[in-house]
Amino acid sequence: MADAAQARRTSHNTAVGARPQRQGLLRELRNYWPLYAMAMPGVLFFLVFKYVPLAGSVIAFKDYMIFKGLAESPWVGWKHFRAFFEYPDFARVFRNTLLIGLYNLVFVFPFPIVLALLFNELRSMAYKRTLQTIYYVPHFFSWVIIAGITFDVLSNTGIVNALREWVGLEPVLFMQEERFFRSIVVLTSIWRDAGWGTIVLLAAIAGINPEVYESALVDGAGRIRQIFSITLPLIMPTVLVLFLLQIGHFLDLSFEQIYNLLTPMTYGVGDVIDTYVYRVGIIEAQYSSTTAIGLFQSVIGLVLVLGFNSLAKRYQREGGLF
Amino acid sequence: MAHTPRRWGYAAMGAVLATAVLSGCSGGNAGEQSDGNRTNAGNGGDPGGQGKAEETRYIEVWRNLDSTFAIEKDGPYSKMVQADTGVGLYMPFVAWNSGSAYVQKLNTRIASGELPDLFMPWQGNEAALMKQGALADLTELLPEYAPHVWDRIPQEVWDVVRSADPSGEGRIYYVPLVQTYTYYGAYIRQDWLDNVGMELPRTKDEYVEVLRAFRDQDANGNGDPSDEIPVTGREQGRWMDHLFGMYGVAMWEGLPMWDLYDGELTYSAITPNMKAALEFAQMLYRERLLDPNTFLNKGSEWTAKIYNDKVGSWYHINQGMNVRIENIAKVNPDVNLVALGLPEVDGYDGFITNTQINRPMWVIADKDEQTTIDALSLLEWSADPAHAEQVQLGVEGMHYEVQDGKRILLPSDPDRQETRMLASFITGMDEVQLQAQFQRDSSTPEQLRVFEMRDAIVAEMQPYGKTVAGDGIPSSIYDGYSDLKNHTMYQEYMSKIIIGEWPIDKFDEFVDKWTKSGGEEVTARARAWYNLIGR
Repeated sequence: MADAAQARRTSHNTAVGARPQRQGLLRELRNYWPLYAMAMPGVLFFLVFKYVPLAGSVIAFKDYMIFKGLAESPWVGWKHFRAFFEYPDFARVFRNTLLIGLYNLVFVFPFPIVLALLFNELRSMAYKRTLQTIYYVPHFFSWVIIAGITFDVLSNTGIVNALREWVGLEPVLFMQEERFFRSIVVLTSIWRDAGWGTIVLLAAIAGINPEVYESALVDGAGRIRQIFSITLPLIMPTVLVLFLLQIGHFLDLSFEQIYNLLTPMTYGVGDVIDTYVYRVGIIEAQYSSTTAIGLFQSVIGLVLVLGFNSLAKRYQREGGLF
Repeated sequence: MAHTPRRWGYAAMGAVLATAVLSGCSGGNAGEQSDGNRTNAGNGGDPGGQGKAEETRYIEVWRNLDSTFAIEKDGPYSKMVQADTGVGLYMPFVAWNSGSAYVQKLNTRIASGELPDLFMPWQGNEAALMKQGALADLTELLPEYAPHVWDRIPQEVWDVVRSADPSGEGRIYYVPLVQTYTYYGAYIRQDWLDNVGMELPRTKDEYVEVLRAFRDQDANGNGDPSDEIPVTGREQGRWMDHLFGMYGVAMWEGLPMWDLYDGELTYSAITPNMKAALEFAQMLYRERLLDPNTFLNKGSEWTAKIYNDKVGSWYHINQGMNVRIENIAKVNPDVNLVALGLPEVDGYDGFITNTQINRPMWVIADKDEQTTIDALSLLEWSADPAHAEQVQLGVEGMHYEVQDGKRILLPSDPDRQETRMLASFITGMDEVQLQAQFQRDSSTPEQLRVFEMRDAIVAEMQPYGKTVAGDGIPSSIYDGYSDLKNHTMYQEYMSKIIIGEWPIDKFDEFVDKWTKSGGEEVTARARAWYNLIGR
């Protein structure tokens, strides 16, 4: 992003100089070639690993057979998209995806903000650092492990049911009951990633000029007042950027998380697009249909990003991502 | 001008990084090329050099591992096989985890276009590979290079294998796991029966009474009357087939099979038999006779419960019972495990599902003829009666020891013993008895007791088996209907009905939904296949 801004600025300068564009570019290359050389690896990375694979999306419109190769596989048009929309449980899978996506935005997304604000209020540096480290740790556990822990904790011999038994309640098998599934997804997401999510926000908070707080103090603002009138508004741009990044993945939920928590008894509330893709695509080696679904998810994500980006720009100047 | 050197430095770094990215991309090609050279060299070396000059060829073999580590090219098992065949084998460590971890790893390898040379397909993933021509055509090479495999498997089984060829030309693309005896069985703890003072149950009602006694009394004799699990199964309703088999439901390790119902080949999950079985299982669950945790039990938890002397009755593979008994004995030395058979239910002909073709056992990747021949020579080694002892016993020093001229089997130890990769895949009662003889001959007295218990179970379960009509049905009948193929819909309804969240009436909705979302077409294909093989 910084590169793009830089490029815009320099091209603007040359335009002012009223020299022919072409000569300007050559001159720039000659003058600043080390900079360009430094940018090269990054540009190449994106070209090779992000843009070239985009061309692979054509397999969404083909019956791709891995051993026959791309060229030999026959074109089938919208077949795979149609198959996805005509899937008998499409409504269920789509609804579950939307709901869990929404829960992620409403419940999971704000959590790091609250946590970051709380961290920021801690006075003892040592205490704060220790606490932060403890909160970061779960992020490094894979979902397989976290799901294993979740199953254990909630099993009929697990700690939760032991506590229930202690107060005279019947044990509940949480993992096989539909009504608990989405809450478990939300809670495990928060447990794993809330701490990690504070990093960017804490950096944003650290960037706030201390003089602002000092003058607020002079005006008689207390801690709470400072949070709501200074810290929160000043980290809002960062929050917005994080929000936009998150909304781009609205439909692609964390597959690993849901797959590992899912059982046939909770398909009704937990079977989402990604788990469907796994069953159809990975297990069955139907790469074309999975690509079609992936494309569908990306298009929805793109539309959401563009939409919310323009909203963000309306909310504040320079607010959006681009 | 002090900053010039630094500028140069950055530039150079940039250039280095750029080339690194580029060469990283072409790296794959270079690898493939050298790979090709290696196999060519192997071919070329054949006519000229005799024996020693020739480099040993290695075949990458993938199957379910019992051991907790990789099988190395120069490991003891590979060396033993090499000594006879000149071909070695290896396999990276791939966890099994009821097959789900294995199939995921295998499919990842398939997706990257680098198939293992010789591997065990899983969950029907061979069908797509056959269709795309990724598997070696064994029709001509197999009789020539693996004559024992060819002769020992009956022609009618090869006919079924041929029916799986997607092109309809009847070519052979896989080697089946063949069993002509009853492989699965249900078991009950005789010592528990003695403790609660009851006889071996012969009917459904007697069985339920026994299970109630297990639940209410201290059947395992450890002082705690409430830690017994009368009967258990695993997640997705796997491994409790006897509860279904009692009602005549064709079931393979918890997955519904195809069999004749009203004279027509039918998916057993949509039959009235299934409905009756579900009602029975629901009652067991409600009364806490069936492990409340059944549908959350991973394979390891299920095993742990059995080993810890907590389970009274379960369903599994007859041949493997010695390992179970051995482990239970560590907790309860009085363990006495016997065959349960199948308790009778009025109005139903119960059976244990037998499949001569249990499933495709081996496929060979279509790489080059030499690889195919090498892989076949490994299979030939495994099927040749001359090597029966090695196939069965494994490696001296690792799987067994020789003491006073007697071969003593060492206790199973997955952390140290390599998996017997080329275990026998063609077995009838003759082979089973021969194997048992090997094992008994080489046992210590304690081991002997365990093996005798196991062999009695194997013998007593035999009469309950029935080969189902859908034996060897190709998974391609499900093409385009992956939720039917994975039994996803069945598993959802089955588990929710058994745990009592849905009433049994929901079963009719399932039959309807299954039929409408592809079941009709799949059934038509299945019946067409059945007519084709003309049983």
